[in-house]
Amino acid sequence: METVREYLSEKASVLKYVALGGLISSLIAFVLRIILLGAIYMILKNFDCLGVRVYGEALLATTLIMIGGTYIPGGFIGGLYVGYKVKDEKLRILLLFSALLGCTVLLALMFFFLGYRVTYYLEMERELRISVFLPLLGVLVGTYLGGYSVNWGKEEEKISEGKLVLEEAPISLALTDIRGVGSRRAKRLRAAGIETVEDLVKASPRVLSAKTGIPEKTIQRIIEHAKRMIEKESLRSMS
Amino acid sequence: MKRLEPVKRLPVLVFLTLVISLGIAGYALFQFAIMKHSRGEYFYLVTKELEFEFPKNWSVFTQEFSNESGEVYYIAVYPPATHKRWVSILFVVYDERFTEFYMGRYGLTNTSQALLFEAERTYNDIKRRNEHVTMNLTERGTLNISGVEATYLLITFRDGYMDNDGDLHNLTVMFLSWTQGTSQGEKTYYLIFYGVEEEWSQLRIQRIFEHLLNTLKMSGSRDGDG
Repeated sequence: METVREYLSEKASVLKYVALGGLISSLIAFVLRIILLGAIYMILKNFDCLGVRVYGEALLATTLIMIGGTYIPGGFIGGLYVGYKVKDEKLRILLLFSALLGCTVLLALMFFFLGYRVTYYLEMERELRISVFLPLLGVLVGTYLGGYSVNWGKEEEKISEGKLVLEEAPISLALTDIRGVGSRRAKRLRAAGIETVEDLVKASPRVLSAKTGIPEKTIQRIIEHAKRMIEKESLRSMS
Repeated sequence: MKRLEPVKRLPVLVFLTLVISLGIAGYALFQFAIMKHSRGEYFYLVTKELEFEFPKNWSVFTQEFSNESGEVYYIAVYPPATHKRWVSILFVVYDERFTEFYMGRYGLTNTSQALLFEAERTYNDIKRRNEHVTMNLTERGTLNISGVEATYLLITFRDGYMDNDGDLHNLTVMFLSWTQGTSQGEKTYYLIFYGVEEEWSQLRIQRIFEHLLNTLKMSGSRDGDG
């Protein structure tokens, strides 16, 4: 019962982060869109070139600026949030959901709250059948870039751990010997009162997760590795 | 503080590259459009129905409606919004089917009748908002537009325009209309030049209107095209 509850609460918190990431993406893109359209209008007005907006090239230019200046940055910031909060193996899929939600909310905001003046370009985008595709593409690209900005190089971290372990060896050899525990995690574990592999095996993953901030699932995996290490160690000593 | 390895910065670099390159591409496209369509102080616009030059800082909006009666094409040309100083130029083009439908429905036989009908329709529209409005026909005559004779009416609607503060202004409207024969019948063209009297009578506005009329061509008619 306790395990089911823990599992559900873990999933709920992940979903909450994904939804929040999507909302952050949409709100930032929405605000940036208003600012950018206003800025484009003011710049063209100041340079006495407002009339250029009627041409196809200007529509394309506005669309490119919208992708680069609103959809991608909005998605990027939302993605950063999701990537920072969720250290899940399924980050790739979670980011996709976050981007889809962000794009849906953004389109809804643009249609229902801005009215004709700001959606003027959207009307023209609709003629080109790009009103949904381009915001979606922009938010998607931005979300993945943001998500992986925080998590990029996780694989490299494992490789570099060897080097870090040697640096930390005199004080925490036992903990950093465990697969998945680098110097930073070892420090966090020690701060939570875990000094040895034995301490780690005895600890509750839930409590330890709350104390260290390391996701519970990751701690469970680390404990499994630690148990296997103890078994191997005891077999070696017996032989 | 541990320094990020270059590989960890890759998504950030991709993000920055995308944002900067899209911004530069957008700016370059705007510059290209401005250079391509500029003709001195004016932009040259070619639409489905008409070609003309308009001031660079004015806006243009085009829209097309079609139903079983035919097609109607609108082009609105207007300067940046200014308080109490409203002026606007509107082109309306009825295709062959809609011209037939329109003339038949309202019992009109030529452009002069059509102009009077449109003037009366505008008067009734204004009267719904201000019942004290009066209509004065100032001038009527013909003009040559791109080799075609157009009939015009110059009308003043006294107290015909109410600004945002609720103040009333006289509204001057010049209605121009002409038809052009095609293989499928006749197309009807309207050019309506609206404006608050104080603004409409300004020399610079009159010059803009004259320039627009002088450069106006029906799309497809290439005579005299530079």
